Amino acid sequence: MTGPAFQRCEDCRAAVHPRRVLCPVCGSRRLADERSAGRGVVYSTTTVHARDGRYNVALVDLDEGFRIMSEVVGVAPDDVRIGMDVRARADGERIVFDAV
Amino acid sequence: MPSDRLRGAVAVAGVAESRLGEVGPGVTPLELIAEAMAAALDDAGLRKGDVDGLFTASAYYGLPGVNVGEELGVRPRYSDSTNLGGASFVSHLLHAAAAITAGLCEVALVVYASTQRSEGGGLRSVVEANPHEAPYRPRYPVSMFALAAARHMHEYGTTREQLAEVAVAARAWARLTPRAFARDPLTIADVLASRMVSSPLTVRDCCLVTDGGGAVIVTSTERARALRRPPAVLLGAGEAHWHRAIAQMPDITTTAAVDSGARAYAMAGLGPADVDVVALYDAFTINPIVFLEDLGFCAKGEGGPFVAGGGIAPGGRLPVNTNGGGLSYTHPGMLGIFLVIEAVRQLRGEAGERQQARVDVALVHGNGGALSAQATAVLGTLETV
Repeated sequence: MTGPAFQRCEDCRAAVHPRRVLCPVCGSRRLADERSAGRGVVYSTTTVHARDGRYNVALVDLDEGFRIMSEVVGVAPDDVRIGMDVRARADGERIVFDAV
Repeated sequence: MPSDRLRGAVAVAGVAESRLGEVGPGVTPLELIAEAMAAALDDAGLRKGDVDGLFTASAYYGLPGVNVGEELGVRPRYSDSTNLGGASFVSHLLHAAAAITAGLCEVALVVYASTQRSEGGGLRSVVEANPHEAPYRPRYPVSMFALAAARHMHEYGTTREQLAEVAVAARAWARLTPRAFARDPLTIADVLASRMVSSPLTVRDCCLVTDGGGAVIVTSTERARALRRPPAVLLGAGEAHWHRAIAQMPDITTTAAVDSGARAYAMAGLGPADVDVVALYDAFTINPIVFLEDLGFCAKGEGGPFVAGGGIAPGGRLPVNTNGGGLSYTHPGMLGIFLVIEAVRQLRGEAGERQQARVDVALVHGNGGALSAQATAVLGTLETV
């Protein structure tokens, strides 16, 4: 279980991230803590061209039904593609994704 | 509908800009705000003592209304510092209409300035770091718009050349605009070959960083009729926001402009086919493409073909950002007020070489944040009321 933490609304079943007190969809207070299995798909991607090099910034749709910003690593930033299957792993404090 | 009461109730009676471009070190935003207000009051034929409503937003001052009020010696009885980023000043038109119609003020000053270029050329911002974004080092805000552009290209086949068309059209308009900051010729090839910032957006897909201020005077249409300049009547306005962070946006190719635009059109009793001139917040080249779709000028996904072949350039199918917009005219951090000013100039027929032949209705659309906050206004000549 290496994916990001999220909440599941026990009333409307919405996946909620980041953490909230109230479900943003239905307003319920009943949000249960869960952890994603870490499987997802790249929703969009950009390569940031910084002075000290290039790196990927991606939006990843987790299979549980929420989206986070992250980085796809292990491939050249420009080779990250929308629709690519990715798998989460810990990178220090961060969660990053490998292409699968 | 209650909003029908606002249709045609108020009008823009005066507009002006301060110095624009690069004002040099030691000039504060408040000084530019004072310049802009004084010139806008002259334009309207009103005096500072007439101003009893103050509408402002700022990337500098935590309590912008009181900073601006003190600097100007304005003591508003209605004060609104709503901050929707670059959409603020279009939003302020709606709020001013409500306040004036409710009798809470009579003469509203909407005002903004920044000296971000003279301070070093970075985007001045009070935006907080998002703990769910910061570890991944997106360049705020360009990477967020790059993500939207990449997804738009993926879903609809939009091309980098079509993105570049937006920058090239803006430059062509700027070349007709004496005060525009960037007036050198610009081609699609130039845009594609310029330095990549956050793919697919190059530095020429990004707006300018300039200094500048603008002021707009709003009062009842009845009072505006008796003033110096032809009134630009507020026929409709709407605002909407659905999210703050780009990851919270359900579909990053469709913005809340769908709602703000629908509200503005409904109040005005008009639609996109009635609009003669358009001003869209063009912080990045993807923005006008998305907003043309969301505001009904073309179908979702058709924005790329719409702007292709000079579609929004001088002589194209729809005049968009006729002064060159944020990409080539000026961009002091938040563009909204300058969009309003250009629309008013077109409605008055005082836009010089870039003046369109017949302008009865102008649409202004502001964006704030990462495609987050949206505000739309429809302005018209007195004949459209």
